[in-house]
Amino acid sequence: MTNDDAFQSAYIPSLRLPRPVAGALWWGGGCSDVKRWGGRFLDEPIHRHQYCSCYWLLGAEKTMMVETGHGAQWPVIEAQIEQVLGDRRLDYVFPSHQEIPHAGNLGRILAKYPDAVAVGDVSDYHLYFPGIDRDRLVDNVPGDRIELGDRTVEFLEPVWSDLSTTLWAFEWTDRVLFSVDVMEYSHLDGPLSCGLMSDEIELPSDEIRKLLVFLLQPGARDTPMEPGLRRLRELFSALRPRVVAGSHAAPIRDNLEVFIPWILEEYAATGSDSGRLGGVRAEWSELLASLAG
Amino acid sequence: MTTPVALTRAETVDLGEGVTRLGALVAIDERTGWVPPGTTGFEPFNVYVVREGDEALVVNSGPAVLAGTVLAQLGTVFPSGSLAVALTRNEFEVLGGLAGMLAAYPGAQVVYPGAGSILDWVEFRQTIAGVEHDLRREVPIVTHPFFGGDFVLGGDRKLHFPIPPLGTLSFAWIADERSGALFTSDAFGFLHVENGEPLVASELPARVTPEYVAAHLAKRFYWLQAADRRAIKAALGQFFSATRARLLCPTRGRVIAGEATVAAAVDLVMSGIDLIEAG
Repeated sequence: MTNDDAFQSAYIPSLRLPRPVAGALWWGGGCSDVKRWGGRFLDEPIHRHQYCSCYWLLGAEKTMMVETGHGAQWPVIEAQIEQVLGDRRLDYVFPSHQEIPHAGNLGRILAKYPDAVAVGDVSDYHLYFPGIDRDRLVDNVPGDRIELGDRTVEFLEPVWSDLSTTLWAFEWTDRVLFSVDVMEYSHLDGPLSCGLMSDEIELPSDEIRKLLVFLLQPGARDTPMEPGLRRLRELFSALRPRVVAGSHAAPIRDNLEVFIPWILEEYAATGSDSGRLGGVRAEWSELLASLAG
Repeated sequence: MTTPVALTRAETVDLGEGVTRLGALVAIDERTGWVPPGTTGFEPFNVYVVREGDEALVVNSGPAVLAGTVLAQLGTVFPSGSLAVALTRNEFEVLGGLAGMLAAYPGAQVVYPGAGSILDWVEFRQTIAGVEHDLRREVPIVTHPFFGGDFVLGGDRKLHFPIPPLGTLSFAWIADERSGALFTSDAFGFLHVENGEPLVASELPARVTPEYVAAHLAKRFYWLQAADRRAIKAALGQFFSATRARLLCPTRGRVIAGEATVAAAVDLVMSGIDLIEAG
């Protein structure tokens, strides 16, 4: 692939973002047009966008940004932060793990908001953003909580993850699960398709699901999915999330019992036990319907 | 106040047959995310250059903290010519110096499989000789070597890009038949520097036991805890049966040199995989 005058960036903003999701939660970021990645992605049979999402929690006393937005989209993200915060300061920024789609703007955000600190597992950022004062990198472990006034964010052990330093989080008042790379899904390209949440789109067909849903965990094909599905079930039963805010997804809200089983059925088909895992979709539909009651 | 990250032993190391290691050491401490807790010593961050005539292939570009150092080192080893930068992953620790390298070498190209549109991920606006450039519009991306293909350097030097039998987020290892160097990305990075040890290990220290390697594998390749390790070991075994490597060149860690030492390191990884606690 060579560059020419027809170059178009793969990273496209959504005119709908940023937008409120529920309670104190806002959604921002944009999309990455996979066809513009080049290489073997040119041969994909569908034209899809990968979400590059970030979120804000506007607590009564403090604010938190979850994920920094993709490093490729800083001008868009910067404008979104300003719009969402207005006159408020940014207190915390939580990059879920040390990858550019998740933490790429950390240095820029901490430079722009000198009172903010980075939270989560903050390993290695001193090497990737040498200008950051190490006192502004505040390490956390699963179980740690951060109070935003009327909102509480708790860090969680992930069920599946890209890196061993990944953390998930849960906001207890609006019951938002920040699932990072899990329960991610792409959406089909189209002029009106970016920036819509799960309850605003038609559930894609099962036939194309394997082209839209991927479990972003190394070694997934050699790993049984049943233990992870069991841990996820335990987590959902304990936390009863009302919104699932993935980093490569649009927020899943109001139709968790439809969307999540659809995704997890694809996960069940991904691992080394795919031939033995049946009924995942029905099981999760039932579980989520019972939790919503 | 920002305390600069201390870099020590910024060294270029000639590995033979036109292969040079660039980089420096950083201290391992409680903020180091890729090692087991309690690990001490210093971590070499490595960028490699393979030179053939007036062409060179750089393997990864190092983290941001090393960008200036590595670029200066590259300038001494390969002051000018046709440069290609191959990326085995798209993580911070291999992308930090990319934009600067591309700006410093007019006509440079990037060897990368496409995932994510990589030039968008770096500081693509660069000022070169007083003129603003957008690297995304100007730098060619070469995708064909990945997933089992070859990149040809200097007319006839083939570098092969196999799928890694062991990796977290890595797209490729790179094998240089001429030198016997195998660039293993995030694999085989378990040898740190202690007590002034050389950057190239021609024998493995006594402290590097299967248990030691297992602890390192469990941190970077944490997913092995739940995976079918027979499949991973089979892939590794098959790979090293078919590939004669005289140098293991990881992104982090000491270079492992000599066929016997390479074989010993592979054996340790095989044993270490078995010792990882199931999770």
